[in-house]
Amino acid sequence: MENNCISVKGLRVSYHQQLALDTVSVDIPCGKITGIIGPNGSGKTTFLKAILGLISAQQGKVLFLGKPLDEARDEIAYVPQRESVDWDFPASVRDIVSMGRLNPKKWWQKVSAEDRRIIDSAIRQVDLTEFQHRQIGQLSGGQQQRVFLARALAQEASVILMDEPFVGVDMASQEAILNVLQELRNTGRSIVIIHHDLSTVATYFDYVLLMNNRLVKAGPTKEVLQPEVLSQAYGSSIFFQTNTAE
Amino acid sequence: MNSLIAAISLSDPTIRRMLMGTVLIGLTASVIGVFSFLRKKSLVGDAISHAILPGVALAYMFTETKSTWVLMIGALIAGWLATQLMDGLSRTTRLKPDSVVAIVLSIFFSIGLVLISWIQGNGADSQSGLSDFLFGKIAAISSDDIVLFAIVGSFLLVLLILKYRAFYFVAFNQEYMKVRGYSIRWNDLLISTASILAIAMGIQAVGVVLMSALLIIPVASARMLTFRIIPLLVLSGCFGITGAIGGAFGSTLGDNMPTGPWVIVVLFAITVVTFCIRAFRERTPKNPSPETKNT
Repeated sequence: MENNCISVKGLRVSYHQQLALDTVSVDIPCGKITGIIGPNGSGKTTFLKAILGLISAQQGKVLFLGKPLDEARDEIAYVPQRESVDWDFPASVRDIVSMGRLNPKKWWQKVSAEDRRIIDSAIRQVDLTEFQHRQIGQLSGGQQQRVFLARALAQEASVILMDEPFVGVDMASQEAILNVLQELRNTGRSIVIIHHDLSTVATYFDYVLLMNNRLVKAGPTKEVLQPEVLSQAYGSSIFFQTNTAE
Repeated sequence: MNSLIAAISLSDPTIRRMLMGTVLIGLTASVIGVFSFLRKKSLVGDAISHAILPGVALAYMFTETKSTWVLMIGALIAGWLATQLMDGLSRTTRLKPDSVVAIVLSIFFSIGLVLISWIQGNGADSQSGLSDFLFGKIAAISSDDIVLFAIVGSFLLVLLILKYRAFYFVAFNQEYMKVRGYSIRWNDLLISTASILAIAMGIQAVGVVLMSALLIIPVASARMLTFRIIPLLVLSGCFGITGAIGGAFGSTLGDNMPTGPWVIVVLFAITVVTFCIRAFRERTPKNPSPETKNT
């Protein structure tokens, strides 16, 4: 019934009295791969963290699948920036994927046989079965990103929010991740990705949010990827880059 | 040396008590310590162990008893105040965690030392033995203490068995857990309270100065051998017990030998061994082909 997986109204965020995000109102459609793009420091990560309640917003209302965040938590999987995670942490691939099966409402966090089956299948889906007992630091950048994707799969989330999943990942691995994401989209999941490489926007995303400390434009990729629209966020230097994108 | 032989033969009820006490302290501290280590808050444990000294001294001043549970309540309050102060300072000022830890540790510890010397100088009880809290005196453990340690220790271990996955994963990726609906503050409160209790258990036997080592060294040694959480907890527990027992027996070698330093010496030996095992493992290829070299 709900056509928007995320609906944001009047979101405003400040850091140390400086406005980071000026009254953003936007609807992100369900069942699509949506990209959030914009120059460095344009508030992309701030936007994502604010809608997830990880940083507090001054004002604004956010609905996930028509419900407030607290009622939709089970259906939302967040994939943080790879650099924000300690990869030396003593954990195996399987340990991290099993995080998806945690239940915050239960005191005793045990893993059931059903959980184990779901974890197995999530690991298989991202093609990491042979690496499942490795320590997470012994993986390549692309594999590490797939571990997080498998965690989202194990959670059986219908909305997946990823912060810069393609940074430090080679083209072949990017394609592999994208294939999994496209499969997920085709089964009705919604995926929202912060992305900074303009040259791949056209091929990766169905829908795009262009930001520059405010929402410049949201719409299907073709509509947003126009020089006159992009220049509103990036300035005129962008013409040079869009030529290579097309 | 005779005392060591007597100790090992377990003929003396004092020795048996000592053994049970140290096993409980070593196990609890080293298992709780795994989570301080994972949360990269090893130094916070050090700050807590120093910070509980004024709590112990004040508890003694007000009640004039040295019963362990009274002192533990004093320790719990002081330790908890110290963690709140560290949290508050980090949040409201822009001081980095290392500075905050150093500040809180030294302030609380000096207040504790001032109070203890005042109690002793005051003649209220010059034989109070409060200075044993600094480096620990294993003989100070009574049968009542063992019961108390068993209760507190089992409570903490049950808490860990129920919640270790949540604690473990919050340490790894706080933001993900927060989005999932875990309360990070509640989680932090549980872990810091558990750490304070574990440290408070050891103040008489091991002493505040070195108690934090019993939290951190066992897990650091275990980490040399494994990266899996369950083996990490088990190994850390075993090392903690070994360190505590070794320290307790070591300190029976001479009169008035403090227990705390002995515990650390034994733990250090364990660390050296695990370090060597790791170094050896890293030098050998993962799947060595069978060698048929004859001498």
